[in-house]
Amino acid sequence: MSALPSVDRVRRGVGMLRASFVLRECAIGERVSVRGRLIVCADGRVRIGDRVQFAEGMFGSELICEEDADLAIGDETVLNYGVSIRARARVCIGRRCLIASLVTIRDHDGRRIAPIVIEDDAWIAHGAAIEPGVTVGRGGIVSAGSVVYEDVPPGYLAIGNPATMLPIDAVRGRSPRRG
Amino acid sequence: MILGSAKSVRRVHLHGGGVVRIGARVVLDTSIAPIELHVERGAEIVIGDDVYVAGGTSMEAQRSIRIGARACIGAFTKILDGHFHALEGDRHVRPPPSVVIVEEDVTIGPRCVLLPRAHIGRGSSLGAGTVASRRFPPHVALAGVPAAIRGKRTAP
Repeated sequence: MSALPSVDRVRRGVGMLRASFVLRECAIGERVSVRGRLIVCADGRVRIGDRVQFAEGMFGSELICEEDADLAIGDETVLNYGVSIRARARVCIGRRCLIASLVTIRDHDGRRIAPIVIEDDAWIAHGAAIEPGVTVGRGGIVSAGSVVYEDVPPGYLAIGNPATMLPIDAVRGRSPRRG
Repeated sequence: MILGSAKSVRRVHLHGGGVVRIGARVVLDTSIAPIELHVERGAEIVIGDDVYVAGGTSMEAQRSIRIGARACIGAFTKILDGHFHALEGDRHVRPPPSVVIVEEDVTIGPRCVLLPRAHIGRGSSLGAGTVASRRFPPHVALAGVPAAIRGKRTAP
């Protein structure tokens, strides 16, 4: 252990301080870190699990939880920059999920409102959009740029616009995207 | 960073410690949003002469990204040569990177994603929001998620 804290440790500390300020209206777990810009509107119930990280990048992210809505993010989930999560009913993200840059997760689209559930260990890749009412199963992958209107079964990969489902086994050893 | 005569380096987020080579008369147009060039140590991003890169574009190189001369890259495009996460198991293990090549005179629309192994042939075009991750021939018009050939493209 060196006497001076490393750059990483300082950054982590600053991230945790920022988290306690930015997420002050939310129920947050231990060691939550907000490194990038984050817009939070917590009119409903927002719960952020332990060691959740909001990464730094070119754009800020937003967490919008409207009145009487629920927005939950599980332990150890990592969110990259430019992520937009909007809950009018319920958005529930599991543990150890990876939410990549510029992903949009919105449970309302102007016509309908339906809850979104993203189960543990899911990976939502860059630029994907999760539409209202969708459940992404445990360990599921939504590939880059996909727009998901239907449920992704556990262990499946969603690809395309509109997304179609492939078992992850079928794409093993290949690029997750065939475009 | 090795600059030819790039017009703007304001609001260009450069990080990672690798090599960025930028040709003559390149425009990194950050008027609408910043541009991110993330090049890891030992990796390279090579941008040819007269390339135009719109704001919001992010290139992340773990090995090599090459943009040919006179290419035009639309806003909020993402170019990656590595997936960063494994398909299964520990998602924090990075699979080995590959190479992304955009040849000369290619036009890339806004919000496109070029994934590892994407190779866009000379003079081709990508419509808005296209996601490409394999080799495509020259002089074709591409669109869709995943990218498909939608027609020929004769004019550069």
